[in-house]
Amino acid sequence: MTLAWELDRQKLLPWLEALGREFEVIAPVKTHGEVVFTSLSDVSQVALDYENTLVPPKEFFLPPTETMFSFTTNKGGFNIVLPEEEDRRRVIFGIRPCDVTALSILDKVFSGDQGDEYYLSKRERSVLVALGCNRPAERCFCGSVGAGPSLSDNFDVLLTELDGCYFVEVASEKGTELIYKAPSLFQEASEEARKKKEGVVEQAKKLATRPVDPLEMARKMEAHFNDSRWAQLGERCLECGGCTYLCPTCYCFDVVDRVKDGKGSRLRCWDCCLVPGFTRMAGGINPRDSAKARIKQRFYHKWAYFVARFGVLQCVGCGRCSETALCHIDWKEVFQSVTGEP
Amino acid sequence: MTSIKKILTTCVYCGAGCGLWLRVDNGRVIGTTPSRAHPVSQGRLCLKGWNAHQFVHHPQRLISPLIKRNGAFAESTWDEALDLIAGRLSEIKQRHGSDSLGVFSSAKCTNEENFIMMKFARAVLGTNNVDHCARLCHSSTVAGMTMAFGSGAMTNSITDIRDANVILVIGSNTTEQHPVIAAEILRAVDNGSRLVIIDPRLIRLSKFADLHLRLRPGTDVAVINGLMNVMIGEKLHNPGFIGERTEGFDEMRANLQKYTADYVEQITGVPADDLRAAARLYAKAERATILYCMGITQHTTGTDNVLDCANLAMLCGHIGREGTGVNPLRGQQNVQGACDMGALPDFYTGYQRVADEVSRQKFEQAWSAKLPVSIGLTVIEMMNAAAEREIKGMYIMGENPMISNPDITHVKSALESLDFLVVQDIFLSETAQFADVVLPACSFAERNGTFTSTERRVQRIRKAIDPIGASRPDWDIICEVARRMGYTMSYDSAEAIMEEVTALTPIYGGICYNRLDDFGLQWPCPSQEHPGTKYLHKKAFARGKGKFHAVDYRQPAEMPDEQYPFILITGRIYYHFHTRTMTGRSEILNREAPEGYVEINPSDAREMNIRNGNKVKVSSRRGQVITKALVTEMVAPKTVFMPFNFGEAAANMLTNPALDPVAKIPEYKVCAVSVERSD
Repeated sequence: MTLAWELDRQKLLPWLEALGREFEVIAPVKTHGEVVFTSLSDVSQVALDYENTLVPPKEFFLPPTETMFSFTTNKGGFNIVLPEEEDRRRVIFGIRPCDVTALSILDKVFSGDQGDEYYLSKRERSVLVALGCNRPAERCFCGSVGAGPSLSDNFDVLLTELDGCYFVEVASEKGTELIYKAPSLFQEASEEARKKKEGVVEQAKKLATRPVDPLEMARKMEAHFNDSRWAQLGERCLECGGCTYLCPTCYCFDVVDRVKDGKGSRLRCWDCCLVPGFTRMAGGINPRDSAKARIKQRFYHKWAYFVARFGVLQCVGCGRCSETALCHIDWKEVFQSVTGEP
Repeated sequence: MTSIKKILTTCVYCGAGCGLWLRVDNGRVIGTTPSRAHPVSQGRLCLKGWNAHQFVHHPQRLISPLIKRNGAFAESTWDEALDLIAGRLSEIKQRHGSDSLGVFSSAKCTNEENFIMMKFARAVLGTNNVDHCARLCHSSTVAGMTMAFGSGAMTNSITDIRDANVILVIGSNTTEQHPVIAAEILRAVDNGSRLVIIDPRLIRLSKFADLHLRLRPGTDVAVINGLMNVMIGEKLHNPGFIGERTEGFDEMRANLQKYTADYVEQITGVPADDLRAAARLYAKAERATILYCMGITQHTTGTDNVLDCANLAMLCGHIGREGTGVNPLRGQQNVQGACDMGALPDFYTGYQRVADEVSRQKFEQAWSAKLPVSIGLTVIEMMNAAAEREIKGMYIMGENPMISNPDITHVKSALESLDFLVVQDIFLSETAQFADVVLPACSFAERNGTFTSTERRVQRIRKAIDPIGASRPDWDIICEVARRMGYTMSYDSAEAIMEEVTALTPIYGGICYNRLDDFGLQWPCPSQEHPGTKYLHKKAFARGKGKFHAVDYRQPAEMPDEQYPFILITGRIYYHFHTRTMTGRSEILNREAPEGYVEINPSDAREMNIRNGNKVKVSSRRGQVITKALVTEMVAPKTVFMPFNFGEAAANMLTNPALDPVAKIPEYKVCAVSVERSD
């Protein structure tokens, strides 16, 4: 059983204020009609009741553009200067369970044999405070892929909203540290609160279906390999890139050098597998030269190939792809038609 | 201390006007994401929008004024550059008169900057020679729709598309140029709307269409007259609407008689039965909308084409209601606004005519300056006048005629003929190479202001970072030049400029920054209490009654012959914006389309032994271009297509500068070329 506390609703902001003295606190803020994650300058700005943000917190670990290093050229070659490392630690508050799961999926990718220091250093200096999702949105299917609406492990801190208070669970040392920044605000969780929390989670889970087994999903995908559906979906795809940019588990980036007068920098920026240039080779040959091939690859990568490599689905059912796609391809519908869910 | 900020602003890549967030980390713009609550973007962007931040910190950004000395640019201080410009412009004005000067304003700049530029031209230089590239895209829209309805703007709103039972897309490759609007079309089709495409090319949308009328290039009037002939013959038109709301119907009707479906098939190549089916679909719909773009406007018959679209809508009463209308899709992010601001040789702001003495006196009084009376020259006419040495000094802000004007060889000689050229831009464009002084402007991420989108939505752009290098907002630079020429233009912010616009412009009367905070207002918005206007011409047309115009089919100015047997269509592609000054420096976008090409139909390619990727030479009477062949069914036999975006394979070396007689728009969509292998 994880460690648990209760935190009165009124004590949440004082807690964030205490954290803000030491950490950069990034949190959801309501502005111009929507909720977006941004650095908090005043804790009273924080939004507590919101549908998940359009942009996943991936953006804080794999930013849309990142300078990998800068360089100057000289006769002997290059002088390479690594970017100044930021050392201020971050708390990302209000991250939803599906997105916490997504980061644990990205961790697998970026911490392989050759760890990606850019990603890992940001993970290292960040602590995640998750906020359980009591009301999944229409497009969500986190339950079906086992990524939400709550969490049982792989998190730092998890808050579940109960009447008038938050049920606070901690599953890592980094998480415990946050509680001890302002211990007087917390009280040990009562059995009653624990039961209430379980009830809330059960209720939320009812809104989602039972999780599919990843291996089973990969097998089911195999049976659909020659469906005419992929051509139809390809015909619809308008190559906006939104489904990949907003996917909390998509991690592809392009690497570019920008040079002027012997000085330059190497950047990496979000890339997208739905556009032809992503796989086009020198000489113009393209192994995925049709929209059909590209969109099919994306579905298979998420729900089959990634499973073969890492044992989990590369999809957390957040539904952002369906919301942002210009072509209105409904990933939840495709998922359900593959699994045979109603 | 906060290190991560998100700033809501407006996309720079088309007239749809999507709302987007710029992600700013420690003073650098590092990402773009869509606004979810914005009525147009609704959490979506196209690939260009997603990459809108990429050029902002590009190392080729201009960071200092440049003065050409002995043929090479050298950095200078602002004072030196501004003094030089003020001195030279004053000298030319004094020696050769005000009309020896000309100004290109810009659809890529804000309303406030366009207002300042046109004020500078009129009140400081003393000339009406001010125009911008709307001349090259939708001047025929402004002319035609003003004649028919009394207002030259998109009649309805983007979200209206989903209320239309029938959508008629004519001369718009919407998925490429206005992808978010295409998304609305797709959504409507998914929900049961019927889609009719009229386009010579096999565009992506045609896969979703009930009917695709694949007309011969330049035969739009014949097709539309044919549609109307069928409607009247089958009594599908709307006599009630025609009687109450319009005038001129009988003359137009008489003119339609000869455009039988069979006759139209001969001219256009559109099967008579398809024409009839399309006529029935459109006319019988409860709500039908027309969306059009440069396939309509960029012809020597551009104004006629627009008038005929207006005729069609009025004939069926498909205007003045939600889900209907005649909807030109404006190309650049602020081309609507640049027109609204009077960056035009014949209009002040809000389409108040220069020729109208009352309007002129109003502006003279407001600006304490004597204003020029005679109407100025258009973009193309200014280039011609420069070549003739009638114009001796030019000030070009954020435009790149060395790529975007027709017949570039002529543009080059015109720019070389000038005594003095100032170019103000964010990069050293092809045009800037010819300048005597180049001034570095701020990008959209570094300044405040407003853009007006294709649906007349006036909305904010917001400063997200400090100016790059020594760059300054365009309006601020122009005010400095004006001051040095002895005329005070003093504003402490873009907002202060908008206050002046508001006071002088009835359709913008209720526009002020605090009302624009989220997602703007749609003009006409005449007063502080007015909520803005979702669709125009509700109870009456802006001119009173809608006016039918009898128009006849005229063939394009240059048709294929033995020497030049192909029709060349030019246009844009999804991955690039205009002349690539920005998208060409956005790595992801440029990777997708790094070079120009020519689309050739497989049957023609076979005949000429051309294979995909072969080098080919495309020639017209004006020039020749070597480019790569893209063999595709997108184009019909004996037709080729080239994107105009690329300087290295410039389609506008080939295009015909023949002009529409009313709007002076060149015929970019049709000229005669020859094609041959070149390796």
